[in-house]
Amino acid sequence: MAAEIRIVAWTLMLVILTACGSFQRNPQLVEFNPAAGYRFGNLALGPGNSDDLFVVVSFSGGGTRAAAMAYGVMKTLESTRIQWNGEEKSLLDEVDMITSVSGGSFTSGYYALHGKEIFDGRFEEVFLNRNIEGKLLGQLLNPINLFNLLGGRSYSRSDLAADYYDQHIFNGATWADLALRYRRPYVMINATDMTMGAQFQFIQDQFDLLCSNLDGVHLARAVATSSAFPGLLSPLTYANYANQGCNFTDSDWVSNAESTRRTNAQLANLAETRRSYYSPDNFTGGWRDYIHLIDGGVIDNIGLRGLILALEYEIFPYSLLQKFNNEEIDKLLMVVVNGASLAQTDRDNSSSVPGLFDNIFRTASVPVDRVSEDTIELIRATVDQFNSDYEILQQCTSLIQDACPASGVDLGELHAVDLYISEVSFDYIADPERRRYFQNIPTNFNLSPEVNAELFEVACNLLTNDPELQLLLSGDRGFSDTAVTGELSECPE
Amino acid sequence: MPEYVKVNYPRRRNVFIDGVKNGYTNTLLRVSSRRMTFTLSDPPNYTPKSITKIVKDTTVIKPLEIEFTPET
Repeated sequence: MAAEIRIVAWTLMLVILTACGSFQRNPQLVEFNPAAGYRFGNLALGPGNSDDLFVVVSFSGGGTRAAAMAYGVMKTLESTRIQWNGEEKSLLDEVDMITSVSGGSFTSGYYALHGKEIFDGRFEEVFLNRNIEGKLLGQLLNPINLFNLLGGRSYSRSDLAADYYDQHIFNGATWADLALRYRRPYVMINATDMTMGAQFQFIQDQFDLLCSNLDGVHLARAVATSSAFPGLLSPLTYANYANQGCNFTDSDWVSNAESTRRTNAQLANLAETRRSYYSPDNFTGGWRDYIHLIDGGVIDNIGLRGLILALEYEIFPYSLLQKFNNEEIDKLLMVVVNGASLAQTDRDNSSSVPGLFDNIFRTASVPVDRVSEDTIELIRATVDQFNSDYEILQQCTSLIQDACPASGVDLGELHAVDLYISEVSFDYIADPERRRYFQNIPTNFNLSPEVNAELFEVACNLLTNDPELQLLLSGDRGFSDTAVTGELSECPE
Repeated sequence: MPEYVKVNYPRRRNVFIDGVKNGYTNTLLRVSSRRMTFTLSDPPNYTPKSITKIVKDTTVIKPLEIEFTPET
């Protein structure tokens, strides 16, 4: 009898463990439909939003520090009043696109869900000023959650974090629930595909490749994925239904890219990554039934990669180049919120060999922080190239008209676009002591309300003192012959 | 760095690159370096019906020129 009871007990235990220990599945997409889903082209202009003044904001990684800086910038954009096309509005109304990684994704995700209600104090209460690390530790020690973690290899620490965020920050919301579901700004939360080492975006165009419907994905899970820093948090698993089909047809550029690899190797690699999701012939392991994603900051800790691709390629649904060609944008403002920091430590005061955790953390973060500097330079170089090309064309056209008008040579016209890049980074704090103070705020999910208030203030000061934003709001006519005027926000003391 | 293309046609029409609207005829278009197929917006009274080219090594004053003519 006792043996039978033991068998029943073990069987029950196994059933419980197996049932509990699985990840929250992303839903299947039965039929590919480019007219439906969370896509840039499917979003209407928001109230006060225009296409010809186009504003893109990027939020970096860096835990609560980065999220608080992002929030401070959003508040500053909201209180900055501008006049554009005879209409007065807040600069935040003109934001068309937000791209984020890691800690910055908490702010972008919350804004996508609640819009301007993000400023009602609740975001500060449930996330910024809360000891999230302590809460997660409490969740980890909860016996029910321990069952979940032990019960299945597909349920991880990050799933636990996602469940906490879902319950306490995002209230179970999915993409279908977004306040900004049908209007701009278009929010792109970014993660990293750990197998391909490629960017993975939480937009329907990306989920099409998996034959999965983003509308049923929980926002909290996307944010947890975007911030799943390797080592501290585990990768999150997503189901890939591509082997069941959904009548998805990829764009022509994907099939053409490999044959022109020597012309554009980057494009060929982008195409190869796309095909790996839906074509077993293009991936060594055959069908990728599950996709494992980690922190978006692993390959791009300032969230700028998507923006660079949008500036360099006319092929993506959210391409800025395409909008330039279609003469839809006259002025483009890019606000880069870089909350990353290189904290100093007392490591070098000792001859002791740095420990394993220190070693892993630095190895994971140093290369990408260095790449971030290059990324910002790359985007500046791209913008400079656009501007110098436009000037060359103007000068050559003028020379031909002056020196040889009878030649009939017509170089063509290029739609004029004025580009402005505002960078909000601790590196621009003039006072060295104050700069070091902010650079040494740790990367964690546990900052005090006082530190957060300082971060809001410094974000505001950095943005309002940014020369490019000041130039834009000064009524600069640039190449486009249109002008924005505005009054910069007053920052809190 | 951007490449430049100019699609020539006697009238102003929308240019489609790989089936996606991407600017207008007789203006300079900023594009990436790759193989692409050009068509014009309807009505399809132009010839040829499409032109496929590899775009590379262009500059703003030396763009790749694509020629469409009205169908007679």
